Amino acid sequence: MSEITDDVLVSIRNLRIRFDVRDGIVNAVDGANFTIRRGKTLGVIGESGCGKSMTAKAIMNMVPKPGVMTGEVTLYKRHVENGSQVVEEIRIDQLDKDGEEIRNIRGGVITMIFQEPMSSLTPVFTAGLHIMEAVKLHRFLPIESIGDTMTRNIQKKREVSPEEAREIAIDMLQKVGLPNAAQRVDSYPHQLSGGQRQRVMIAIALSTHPELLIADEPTTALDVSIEAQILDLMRELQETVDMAILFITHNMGVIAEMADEMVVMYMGKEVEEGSVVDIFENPKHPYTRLLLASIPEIGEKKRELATIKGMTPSPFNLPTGCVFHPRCPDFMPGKCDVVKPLLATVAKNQNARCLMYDPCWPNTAEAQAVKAKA
Amino acid sequence: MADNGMVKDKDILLEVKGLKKYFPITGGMMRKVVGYVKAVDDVNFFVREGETLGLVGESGCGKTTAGRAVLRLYEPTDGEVRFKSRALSKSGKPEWVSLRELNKEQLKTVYQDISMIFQDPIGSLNPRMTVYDIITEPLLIHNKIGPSTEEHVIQLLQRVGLRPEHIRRYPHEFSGGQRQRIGIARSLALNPQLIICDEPVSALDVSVQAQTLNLLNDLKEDFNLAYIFVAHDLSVVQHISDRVAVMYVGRIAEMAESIDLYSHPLHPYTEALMSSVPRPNPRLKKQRIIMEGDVADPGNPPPGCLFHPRCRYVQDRCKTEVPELREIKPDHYAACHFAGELDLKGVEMG
Repeated sequence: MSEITDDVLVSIRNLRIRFDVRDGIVNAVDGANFTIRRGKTLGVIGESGCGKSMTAKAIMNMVPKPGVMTGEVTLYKRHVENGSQVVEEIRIDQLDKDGEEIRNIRGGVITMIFQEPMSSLTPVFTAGLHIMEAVKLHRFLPIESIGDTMTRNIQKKREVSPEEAREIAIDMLQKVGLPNAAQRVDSYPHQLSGGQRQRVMIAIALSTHPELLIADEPTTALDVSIEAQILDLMRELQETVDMAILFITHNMGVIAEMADEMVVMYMGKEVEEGSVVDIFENPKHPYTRLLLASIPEIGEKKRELATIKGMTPSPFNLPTGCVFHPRCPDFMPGKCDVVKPLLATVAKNQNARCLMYDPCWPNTAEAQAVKAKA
Repeated sequence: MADNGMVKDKDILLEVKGLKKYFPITGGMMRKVVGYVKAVDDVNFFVREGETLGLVGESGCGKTTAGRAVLRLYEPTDGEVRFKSRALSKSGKPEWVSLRELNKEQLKTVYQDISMIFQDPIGSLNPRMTVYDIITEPLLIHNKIGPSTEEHVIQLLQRVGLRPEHIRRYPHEFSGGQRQRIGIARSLALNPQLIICDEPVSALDVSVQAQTLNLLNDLKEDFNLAYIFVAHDLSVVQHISDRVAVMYVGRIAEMAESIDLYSHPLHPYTEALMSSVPRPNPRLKKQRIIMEGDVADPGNPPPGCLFHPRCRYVQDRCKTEVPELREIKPDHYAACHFAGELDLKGVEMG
């Protein structure tokens, strides 16, 4: 997943986010590399503290203080210039955090929905005002054309008027399936249920026609029946508006239903990446394998769930070598605790960060035996 | 549910009949009661010895309230809770007691037989107490501290997968999963027969969740425990439960043996709920039944069957008549007028 082709929307190279705090240094994200493709859904999965939310913040250049971000986050923004489509390369990591350019991207080209629909809406704004705010800042309409193709090229854009913004807001609320959108547009967040609030969040996020929607655990706080509604809605909308989704979750079921490709993260590193079907059917990294075996699945009666022994290490005191080695069932003493594994190709379009698959690894009988076991 | 269908079984440990818990809604300057939130409304269930009953439902369905009303942590508005208590009987043989008729002193004694595990592993442990203090607090309350207490605590710690040297530490020194283990050790301290687990794994990460579920299952076998397992996650409940009761807006919609309920649901709500669960299988192309709208407001419930505004099989009768929980098949209860007549799809069992 490395070469930059036409369908790449965001490419993340060697992303590191470091927090220098009193107790030491935490590498919240430690060398992440992945690509978000246009119109596709990339799922990021991992347990709490693995750096998945921080990666999302890095894409928006919103890493909170005292975090320091290094590496490359490149956005390939499409726009029309002189009647032809051009792709502009924007290095998000190099933009001024409070500058004009990044503020146009945030909420415009890239939007985000959060886990907690209550605390991410302002209680003093109506649902409509939330959407109108985004629309006013990020959506521009073409000035009435005189009817000549020549002039179309030199058209300027104008801001939407308040009346138009309200119309767009009602239209968006209708699109996300809020009943009585024309009245609900004037409802305050506390008058809406959890599922309705999340619909409003999605309406805000989609009102500016983003190219990328970052969904950070969007259904975790919702009930299953509402979760099903929201997931269906997101899929439907994605089909109609052609946007990419970065879907962050810890729920294997949700990722299996939503994503095309996925990244499994552990302690700030991606340990496995590939297509969702490949990873669910043929997980290569021991962590992914155990994670999949450890979830109780509806319709399957397991006597005992597989467990990952121990717990996630303290970020201040990471194990040497492979960070997963103290919990790994395939631990190779003298190797895994010494050598940091690199991301290696294990199958077509599937990479794993494990010494068993590392091509540089000496081809000893012992290593082969472990490989065969896997 | 017919009365006679229940206590025939001699293994029954706890029996709940017609349990109600209404919370008053007050309004106006005089704080006059203007209505009730019927959090738990006419709930019937039973738990056999050494069995896990899963209590599952969406938020606000009353599952937690039901669990607490059984213990009289919330004083029930109405209903009967009968429990076969060891601690209260003088002869040493378990005796039936009605929890709602006990006085404070007797209830305290019965609490030796029933304990509780909470959802929040941080909030449920006092940060100023050591692990030893936390686990021995139930013993202290029941005057059971003796020379062998420390040994007992160490055994409990080892049993739940903690180390003896953890005994002098404070809760903040542990991870979420370990804290939940401390809570489990505390609930075992008095050697109970029944543990009410209120969302015990929903605050934990997947890998830790699996460890905790396995531990709960092992303990159940070792100590012949019965659990009431309150949770919203249908896969977790299916995994751990022998029988499952599905609640909807304060009432039990369906109750049956776990595999039977998941594979052959008799209530449309159960069917829709099962189909909503995201399954960890990307190739599975399933027909999801989308329930329109939101869960009914327990303060202002719809007339007739509470589920009728969201039900796709709704008939005129459902809009006026409240369905009773009936035994449709042996040990399979459902509260739907058309239970058994509808052709509902369950989860295919692998």
